[in-house]
Amino acid sequence: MLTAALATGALGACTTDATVDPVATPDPDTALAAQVLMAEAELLELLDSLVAGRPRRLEALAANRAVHEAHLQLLREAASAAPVTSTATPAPFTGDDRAAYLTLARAEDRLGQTLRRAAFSAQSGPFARVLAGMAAATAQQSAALRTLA
Amino acid sequence: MTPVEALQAALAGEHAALHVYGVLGGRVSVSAAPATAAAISSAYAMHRARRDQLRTMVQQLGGDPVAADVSYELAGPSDTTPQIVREARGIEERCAEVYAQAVGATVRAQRQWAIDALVDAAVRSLTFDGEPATFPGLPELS
Repeated sequence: MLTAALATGALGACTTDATVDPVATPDPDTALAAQVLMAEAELLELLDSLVAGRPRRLEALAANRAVHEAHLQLLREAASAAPVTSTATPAPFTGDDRAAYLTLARAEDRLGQTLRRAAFSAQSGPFARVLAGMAAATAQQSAALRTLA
Repeated sequence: MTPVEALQAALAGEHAALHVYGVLGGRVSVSAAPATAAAISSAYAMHRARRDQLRTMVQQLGGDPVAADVSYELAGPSDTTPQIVREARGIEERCAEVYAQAVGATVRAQRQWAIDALVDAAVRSLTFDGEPATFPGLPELS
């Protein structure tokens, strides 16, 4: 269960309601985690298309990828979800570097909105805190990408 | 941590931020470092507004808003522009941590306020030469 995983696994500092029976009570944040997982995975798919065949851009966006992979990993661990793997080869992005960075910045903004809404809605306080931290990270990435562009 | 305790912690953080930004504003050179001076002035105004909002929020929850300390120590020397920038970055990073705590301890309007404040502090830290973090405001995950 999500709340239990947050409390006992990746987020040891978090607390949870120990009286909740994970079998009898569906975790209300599980659907939220699935939504966020999908949104994070979509951003990484976009990133793949932006760097396909572009080693310099791949290097420039390595830190961005690392942030989102860390978010994805934490969410997977918390939700006990299987890795989302795409077998499709991403269609390469045909624009220049500036267009690529701005495209990714706009995607960060959309992901940030999803994360903010999720943080607001989360039943678990510790989960809300983590989601808000992820939203803050996407805002930083967006700002950094606009500087890069 | 209760919602009032979390908001009181954030308010205490704002008192400290305002004090330090006041000191930094008096030390930064407007002519030699105009961008830094403008960023500090903007940050001061934002934190003053947040302090006032937090006082109101604490009162609305039945609390007695925590008062500012008489004085606050700066984390390090702040005589040069790089030192001033480092001090300002530290303030934003510390504020991000208390805002993140408030996100986890509150609901509805108070939580929305804390989310917005956390995101703003994270981005503002970049203005002061901060690096993007994987989990801003969550030091145990960094």
